[in-house]
Formats: sequence, structure tokens, C-alpha cells
Amino acid sequence: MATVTFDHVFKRFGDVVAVNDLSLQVRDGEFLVLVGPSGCGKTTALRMLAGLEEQTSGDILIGDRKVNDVAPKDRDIAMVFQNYALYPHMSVYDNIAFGLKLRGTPKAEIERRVKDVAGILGLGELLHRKPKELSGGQRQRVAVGRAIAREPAVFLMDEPLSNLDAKLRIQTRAELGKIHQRVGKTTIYVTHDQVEAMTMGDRIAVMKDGVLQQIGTPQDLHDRPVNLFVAGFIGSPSMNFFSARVTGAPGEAAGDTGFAKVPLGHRADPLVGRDVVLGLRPEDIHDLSRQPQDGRLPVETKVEVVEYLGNELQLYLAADGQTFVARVAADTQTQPGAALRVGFDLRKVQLFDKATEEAIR
Amino acid sequence: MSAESVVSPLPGRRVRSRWPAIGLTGVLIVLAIPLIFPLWWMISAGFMGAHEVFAYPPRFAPETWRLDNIDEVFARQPFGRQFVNSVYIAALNVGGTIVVSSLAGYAFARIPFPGRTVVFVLFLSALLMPLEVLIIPLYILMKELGWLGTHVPLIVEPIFGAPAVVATFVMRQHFLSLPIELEDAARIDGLGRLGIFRHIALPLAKPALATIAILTFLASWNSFLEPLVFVAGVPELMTVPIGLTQYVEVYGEPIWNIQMAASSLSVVPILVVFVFAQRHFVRGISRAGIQG
Repeated sequence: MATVTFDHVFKRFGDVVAVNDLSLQVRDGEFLVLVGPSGCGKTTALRMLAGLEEQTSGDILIGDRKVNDVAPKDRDIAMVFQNYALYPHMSVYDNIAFGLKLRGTPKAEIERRVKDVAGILGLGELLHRKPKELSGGQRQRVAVGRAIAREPAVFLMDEPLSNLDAKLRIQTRAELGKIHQRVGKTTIYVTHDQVEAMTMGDRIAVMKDGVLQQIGTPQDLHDRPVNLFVAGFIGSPSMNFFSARVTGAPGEAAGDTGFAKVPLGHRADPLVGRDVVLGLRPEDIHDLSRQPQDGRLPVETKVEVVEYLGNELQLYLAADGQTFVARVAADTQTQPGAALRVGFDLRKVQLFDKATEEAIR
Repeated sequence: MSAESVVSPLPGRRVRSRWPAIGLTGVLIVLAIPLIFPLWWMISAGFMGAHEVFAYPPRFAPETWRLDNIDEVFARQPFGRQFVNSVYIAALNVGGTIVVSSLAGYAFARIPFPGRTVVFVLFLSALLMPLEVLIIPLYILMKELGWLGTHVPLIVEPIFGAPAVVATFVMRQHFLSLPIELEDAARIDGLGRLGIFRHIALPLAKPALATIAILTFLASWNSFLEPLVFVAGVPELMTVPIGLTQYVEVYGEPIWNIQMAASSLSVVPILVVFVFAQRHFVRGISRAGIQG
């Protein structure tokens, strides 16, 4: 069993707290994505799990074994690095076989595993080449192959796709997903790209400033973000936020944004008189000339920018000095400067406390 | 389509002129003369008669190529023995310097320890002291150790002295340029500190190692003051540079043609080393420069 547990883990570099009281458990066989902006502590967390950094305090467990003082090579892990870290002076074969050789694996067994991995990743023709003779995508596959050949309990991946071009990244993303299904090992994948996180992760852990913000399935994070940061980080384009004050009598409480009074239902009853932030994703703002009004709050807007994306339009809209983004059908007839009547989907409005930035359910 | 139209240049396409290349080559040849002429003079004078060297108008090639001069080089003193001395001392210097400078360079580049920067600056400051200042204390030290009149000082001093400081600096710069992830990957693969040095860092340092090998070899081969001080007076212990000064007649004047013949022989090992390691040498120097 290869669960991974962080138990109240801290990491300080001098005065900087890189990882702040991280506690989370990764299930056996799960693909967990650690995501967050640069400097949020996700890579440090991964390096501590690998044994490349020592935590300042707290425990890290792989399975039931506490690995705080275990050397990287004895943690039964394999890691894929952002720049692949292939040994330049060794052939592809030797790169994949090196870790096995050091572990004293019999030669025949090494050969079998390298051949197996080469088969899975389509590296058969490249085994005798040096890394410098490979393309970026091929190097990436060798790096993954080196990890798989070790047959570790846990795979660690540190932004393994970020050096690939956009097209190859999407392709490799799918391949990594397939490999994970096939190998079925616990995988922890670090990225700053929320699209990668959403598409690959069984669960996603969002970090910011060294603190774990939320852990959940992609749908959890998208539909029920726990705070403003997660709400803004997950989803592209980002969620629209509107400052509002809750007004009205209990049962009829509404968020007054200045350009509209957004009905909030009973959950806002205790909030009357308080400042809140309303969140609404761009896909939940509809063109009312094409959709019925029921369940939607009509808002008169002016179109500022129209971005044509082929399958949809992104509209930058303005209402009473506030701007926000809407995703509408590609054949919507509008242009910059035109007026557009849109509907806010009231079932999808998220509510956040302005002071604490926490979600209010 | 006719055969002509296939090979003729496309209309409007500029044919590159060969004149700039010819001009550049001409300039380089002229600039090379001051460098090549003394070498040529040394070689040709080595085959001349004693008086031919001073002939006026000067001769740029001997009238007859006197191979006897070579025999005389070996007849006048144990030049063969001195040659072997220089070769084995240089070889041990190269080997020792590679071991010391690569280990020290790696430590300075990769192992964090308190005061690392201070120690490194102190270490570099050794370059500021000229050998002439140190030679007397060194002489006393070697005397105390009982190493005078042996080759030991010529082997030990350069390995831990100024030539090794330069070599350590070159190695440190090289190791700094190695991506840290390579070492992380090696640690996960199962290597310890020395294993990483041996299996990852060192094989990737070949150009830098070739550079320090050549620099060390040259420094040792040309070294004059130390052998003069530490093994003076015993022809069998002398190295080539000291031996070259011994081709003198009774009044202390050089016997030019024999000395030139011996000098010509003394540059052969350097040419051999350069021919084999030139590629690495240039690459190593340019890398060290970029990383500095």
C-alpha cells in the first residue's frame, strides 16, 4: 500500500516559511495534483517527499513508514524533473537502467524492464542515442521511462510538461494519464497550470503562500471553491468577482453591486448589512436574446472587447463602471460598443465574505 | 529544362565572392609570421654549424642539415635522462592536480559549508603571491623535510600550489554550471556524494579536465625556478629547461646550434599534447570564461 501522508509539515528557509503546516493524505493509486502560483511551496513539498529537502518539522509517511530520516534512494519513489535531468553522458538505455544497476538488479531483469518501458513509451529506436540527440518530447518520455523502470511505489512529477510546446503538452498530458491508468501507482504531480491540474488530477490540492487552501476533485474545486483564491485560480478565464453589500429583509436578501441587486436567498439572511464578494464564472453569464430569462438576473451591459475563439466568444462587458467576462456562443451578433442584455445564472452565484475571503454556503 | 539551366544560378541571386576569404587568409598569414618565425629559426639553427648561426647576411635554412647536432645534444650531458625526468614529473603533476582540483572544485561548487566563500577567496588570493616571494620559504621547508636534491618538491609543490589554484577555479566554475537536478536525480537513483562526483560530475567535466591537464602540463614542462633551486647541480636530476642552459662552452657562452637542437626536441611533447587535446582545450577555456 502506498499512501502518502503529510502530517503538519513545515519548511522554513531562514525567515521564509515555504510550507506552512501542510497536512494531506494521498490515497493508494491516486493521481494527486499539487497546484498553485510560483513560490506557493508545491515544489518544496514534493522535494521534501523525495527526501531532497529536509522538513523543518512534521512527519512524512509513505505507506505506514515514516520517511523523515530515510535517504531518497530508500524511499521507493521515482521523480520526473522539469528539465528532465537526463544524464548527458549516458545513452537512453543507460539513463533508464542506471538506477536499476545501482540497486544491483540482475542484468537480464534490467534489460527486460528497459525493453518493456521502451515499448510502452515508443523509445525502442532511441535506446542507443544520447539525450542531446533527442527532441524535447523524446527527452520527456525518457525521463518518464526512467521513473517507470524503477517500479517505485510513488511517482513524483515536478512540472514535467512545462518545457514542451503547447501542442505536445496537450498530447503528452493525455499520454501521462494513460500511463498512470496502466501502471496504477500513486502519483503526485506538481504544476502551476490549472488546466493541467483539472484535466489530470483525481484530486487537486491548491496551495498559496505555503498553505494548503483546498483539496478535492476537479469538480469540487470548480463548483465549490472554499475561498476567493481557489475560486479565482481554478477556471479559465477566471471567475468574475463583484463587491456587494447585502440589503433587504430576511428571505429577500440581495447583493447590491451598484449595477444590479442580485437575489441571494436564505443563505444571505444573516449577512444583511455586511460587505460580501459575489462570484460568477464567465460561462454562467448568458446572452438573454438567445436564452429564456427564468432563473437569470437581467443586466444591461456595454460590450468593450470581443475575442473570437472559434468555438465561442469571450466578451468583456461593462456595467456601471465594473467590467467582467462572459463566454457566449460563437455566432452571437455583437460588436465593441454595442449594448447587450445578459442574464446572471442565479443558481451559480458564489458568495464570499469580503473580510475573510472565505466562501459562505 | 536544359542541363545548363539546372546548374546556373537563379536570376537575381548574388554569387558570393571568394575575395574576402582570400584577403582574410592573407592577413592571417602575415600576422602569423612573427609567431612562426622564431620557431622556424630555432629548428633551422639547430641543424646549422656553430658559425652558420651568425652568418651575415643571415641564413634562414642551414646549408647542409647537420644531424650530428642531435647526437651532440645527448653526448654533452644526460639529456635523455632529463627528458624522462620532465615527462614523468609533468605526468605526476597532471594526475595529482586533476585529483586535487576536481575534488576541491566540486566541494567549492556543490558542498555548502560555513565560510565557503571566505575560504574560496582566501584560496584564490594565493595567486597574488609570486613564486619568487615564496621560493626561499619553500626552500627552507623542503630542506626541513629532507626533500632537497630529489624530485619530490617538483611533484608535491605544484599539486598543492598556485597551478592547482587555477585548476581548482576552472573546475569549480565547471561544476557550478551543472544543473542541480542532475544530482537530485542521481540521489534518487541511489548515489551518495562521492558516487555523484565519480559517476555524474566527473564524466561531464571532461573538457574542463582536458584544459587543466594541458595547463598543468605546460606549467610543469616550462617550470624553471623550482628545479633550479631544488635539484641544482646534479645533471641526472635536472629537468629539460635547466638542462637547456647547460649547453655552454668553457667561457659560459651558449653553444647556440646545440642549444637550439635541444630546444627543438624539448617542444615535441608540447606539440603532441596540443594536437591530441586542442579541441577540449578550446572548449574548456571558453566554458570557464562564460561561467566566470
